[in-house]
Amino acid sequence: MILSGAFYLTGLVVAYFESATRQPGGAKIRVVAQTTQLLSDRQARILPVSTTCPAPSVHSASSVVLPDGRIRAFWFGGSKEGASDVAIWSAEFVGESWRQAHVVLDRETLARGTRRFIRKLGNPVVHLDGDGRLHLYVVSVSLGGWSGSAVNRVIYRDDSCAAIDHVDRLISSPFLNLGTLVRGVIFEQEDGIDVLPAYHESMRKFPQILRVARDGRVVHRQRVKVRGELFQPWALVGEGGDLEMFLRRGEGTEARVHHAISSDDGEQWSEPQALETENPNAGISAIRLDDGSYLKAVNPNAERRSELILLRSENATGPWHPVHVVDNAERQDDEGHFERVEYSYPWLMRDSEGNIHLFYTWNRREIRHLRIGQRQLIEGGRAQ
Amino acid sequence: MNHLVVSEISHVLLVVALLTRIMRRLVGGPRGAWIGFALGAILTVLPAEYTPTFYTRGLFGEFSALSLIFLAHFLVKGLYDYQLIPRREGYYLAVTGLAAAALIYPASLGVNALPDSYELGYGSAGLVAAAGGLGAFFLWRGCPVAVIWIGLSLFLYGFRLHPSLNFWDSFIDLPSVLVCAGFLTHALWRRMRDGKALAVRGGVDSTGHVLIDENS
Repeated sequence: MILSGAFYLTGLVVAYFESATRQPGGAKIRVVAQTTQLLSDRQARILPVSTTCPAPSVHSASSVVLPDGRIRAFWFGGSKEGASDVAIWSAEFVGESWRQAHVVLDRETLARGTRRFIRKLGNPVVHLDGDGRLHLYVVSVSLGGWSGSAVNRVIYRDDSCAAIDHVDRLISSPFLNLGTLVRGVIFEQEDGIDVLPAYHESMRKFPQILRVARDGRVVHRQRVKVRGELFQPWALVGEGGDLEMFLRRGEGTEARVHHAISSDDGEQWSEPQALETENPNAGISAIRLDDGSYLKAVNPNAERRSELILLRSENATGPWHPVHVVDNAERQDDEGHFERVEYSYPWLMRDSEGNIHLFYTWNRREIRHLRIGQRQLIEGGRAQ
Repeated sequence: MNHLVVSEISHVLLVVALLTRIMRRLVGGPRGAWIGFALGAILTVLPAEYTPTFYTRGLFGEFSALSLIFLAHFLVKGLYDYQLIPRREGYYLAVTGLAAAALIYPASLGVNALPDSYELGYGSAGLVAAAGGLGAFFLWRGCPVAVIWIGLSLFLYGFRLHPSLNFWDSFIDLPSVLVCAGFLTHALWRRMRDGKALAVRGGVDSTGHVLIDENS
């Protein structure tokens, strides 16, 4: 009894000092300066990204601008979504074309890295840290469906993604660590902590903010309270440095894009409000343009994903005006044989010249890439 | 990297404890238990994809201090047929484990009406103080195993030895909570069974009347 008491007292003292010195949240989000003096006037152009990827089914693209200005895209591909042969593919955009796609992570490699059985891979989300290292956050499942997901972090030795530096398993849920997924763009705090807009889906779907330290461990998890189901948060830094979040609607929620705001770097969030933009239970992406306005990529019909457009607004809450139709089932000749036409999972990004890039899934068969100058979006929007 | 060592040890403990119990049943007696122990030890040093810990980690994730206590109990019981956790302490562990689960699981799974106590686990001096108070209570009640449980949770959390930096993950996990639920259910069932047996043999019925056995 004396020994166990001494052990307990030692643990108590150490744990007390540890908890008193920890500052899980709080640090400011690092905002990368993005304003260019001249708005790019590049005409819209759609390029196929994944044609050199032999996988018959591809989905969920993510991308990053490398320090030298090249662009690298990531997506998952395999025989079908959820199959054990699904791997994470990547390709590089150099000059005006996409290079040969290659596998940067497969199930076996992740299993070895995390020292556990992994049944399938899912959404990849890429982030370049302050030291120029590529962090790939990827969803994996060991047991069951997507509600049994967990998130892993893979850090590559260099931006060719040929060799992995190390792999970490994120622990973000007390319930067998199940149900956490990522999809949206990642931020970095000034102290080097990654801020992940993530979401939970097991009993019900809701958004959450995860903060991941350099050692790959979650240092804070903030649940965003929602009524009904809202998930796949896409966050951006809004006016006055506030963090804003656009949300995909799920079951029991009005079929519209929802919006929430946080004035303390994601610690507390307002109750999400439905915007005017319809949402067919599909992913959303958003970005701020150089003039401070908001650009959003959405499927604008509450029933289907057969149209993907860009909307622009002076405020996050609207009114939103269409500025570009990205893809539309009616204008495609080669889609007649598809049972269901679908353009989904948009990912918006801005390059070092100020061009806007949109990646999206085309009928689950290709990842496509739209590049467009900001002038087209800003002035095109005014003309309408 | 110390947290990976603790994770590895906990899964090795699971495999060894399971095989010890299984082989004790199959072969019989302490000899079978030690064969199971040796088999478990050999299996856990195989290359990563061939060791059972590769699959147990995929299935259960990372274990808490409570699971480590239970696993140590099962291992010692298998090898030496000795109860590391006395029955009285078992009640304390089970009730506390279930109460902690009720505190964190519903809100972390999305129940809005409840505050998310799991979030506190990332760095709340108040939570550590509460755990300290619980440890002091167990110390006062003379429950050494429960005190070790609290101490080990605080140790894993304080020295960052657990793969999760959340105190709750060092404290409990789902498998240990299920063991707690199983223990209490079994205890309840046994109490009901004993009560019935008492009633048949002679004892006190549900209305409080004394029953007399025919042979008495």
